[in-house]
Amino acid sequence: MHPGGWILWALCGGLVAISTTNPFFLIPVFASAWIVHAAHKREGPMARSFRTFALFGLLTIGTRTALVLLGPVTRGSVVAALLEGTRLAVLLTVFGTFNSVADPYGVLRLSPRRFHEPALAAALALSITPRTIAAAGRVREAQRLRGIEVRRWRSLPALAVPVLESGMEEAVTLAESMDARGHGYGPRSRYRRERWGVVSLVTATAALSAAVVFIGRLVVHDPSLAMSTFPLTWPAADALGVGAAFLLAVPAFLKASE
Amino acid sequence: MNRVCGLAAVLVASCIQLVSVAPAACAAGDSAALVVDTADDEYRYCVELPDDSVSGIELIELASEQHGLDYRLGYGGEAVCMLAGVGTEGDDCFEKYPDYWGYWRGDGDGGWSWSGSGAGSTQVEPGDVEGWSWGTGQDGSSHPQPPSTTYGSVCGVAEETAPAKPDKARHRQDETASAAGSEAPPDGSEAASEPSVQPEPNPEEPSKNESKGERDARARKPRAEIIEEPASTGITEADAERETSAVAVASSRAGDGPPAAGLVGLGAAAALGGAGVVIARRRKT
Repeated sequence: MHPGGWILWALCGGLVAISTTNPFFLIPVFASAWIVHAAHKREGPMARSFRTFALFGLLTIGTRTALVLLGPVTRGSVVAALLEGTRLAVLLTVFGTFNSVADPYGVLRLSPRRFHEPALAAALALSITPRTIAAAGRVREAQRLRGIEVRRWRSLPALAVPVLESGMEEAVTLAESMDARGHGYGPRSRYRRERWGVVSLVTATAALSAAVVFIGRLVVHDPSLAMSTFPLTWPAADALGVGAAFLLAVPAFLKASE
Repeated sequence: MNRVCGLAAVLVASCIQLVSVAPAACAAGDSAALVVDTADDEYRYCVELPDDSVSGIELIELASEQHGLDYRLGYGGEAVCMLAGVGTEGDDCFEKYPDYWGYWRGDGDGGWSWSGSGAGSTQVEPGDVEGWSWGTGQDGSSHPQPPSTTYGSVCGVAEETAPAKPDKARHRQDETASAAGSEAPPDGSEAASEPSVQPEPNPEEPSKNESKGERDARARKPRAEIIEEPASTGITEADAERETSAVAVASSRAGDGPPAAGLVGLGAAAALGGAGVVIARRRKT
């Protein structure tokens, strides 16, 4: 799979998620992100970023709802807060899937030479979650081997310092090694050039179609995108909208290696 | 120092020029348009806004203060029960369900988009258009929209559509109406029966017609019925209790169930979720 295919998939999935609060559209997007993650997750600790982001999403829903309870509470206002939290959670989940399936350095290779440095910064930022998870796992293992207690909360400070340190070191090492190889200066080598194969094209087309349907509805103020919470009624759902949301699941049924 | 003074003088001069050239534009800076469509009548108000931001509910309260719009709130002041004499008398704003006051927000081009959240939690900015329409329909796809309205068509002629006091305005309009003679509609009922053919309230006559229809509509009603005081804007404990139960009633009344496409979608989502679990397990082994 060309990394550009994953970028487009994540971008379109995020756009779809952010455009609606209708649970009949959001839940298919979540299910699609999950199955794409299950089918394409890379080996290693990066695969855990889906779970991390999903947990963050749950936290978002909880916080958003708890804030509403401070004001005048009606059923509608609680449901509205839940839905807005869900929208953010689904967006985070899509991003988590992107992190677990795409190689951030593959994404970096796509950038034109002139934008190499901002792209490097972006790649480091994008990959911070998987790298932090990996570093935390290594530090934990080292501590366990040395007989240090790795209980949940009390060991957090002992865990945080080496994790932050190793993150810093990793970034510096990466930048140095790229400098040493002349990245961003001379002509770039074309070794193992990524190609837009059938799989990437199909993925990109499906994701773009989903985004077009939802952005189009956003532009024409389609009421199905927002669920009415006052009065509290069943949200609208139509085959086109639900089907478009499921288009994001298409890459799960393709083989990434082709 | 001189230069600063000169700059200040230029600024002041340009401000004065702005004010004198485009008074409507300057007045537009701190008002919002409110459209109330009772299905039989249509009212448009240019409501002056205070310095701090107001909610959709507060805009109605301001319209009542400034133009004498009758209204009644329910559910602890969070919902609109009655506007311009149409709606429910009690605290249960959904007493006449499926008829209820739908809340619309102007999209800036004269069109409307359905507000998914209650008017107590929206923010009205200067230049906004807010609409309320009485009718059936669960949401924006089936609820009747108010007639297409732009901010400029309501607030463009601030003098005519925004009288400071309703009584004074009524007096003045009586005079103008009699002066206008046969050109104006003979009585308000004609204007009221055809709200859609009311012309936009640009310069002179049309806005008089509209205000006249509004005045007649108010005159037809016994004065005692008009509720000037927001009876239930404060949230009492009893209100809050009634609110939750009443909303529950309202939602159960809506009760035509979830849409089929949505349920099929949920089923498919569950299937995908299960397939994901299977794929993840198979990859692990």
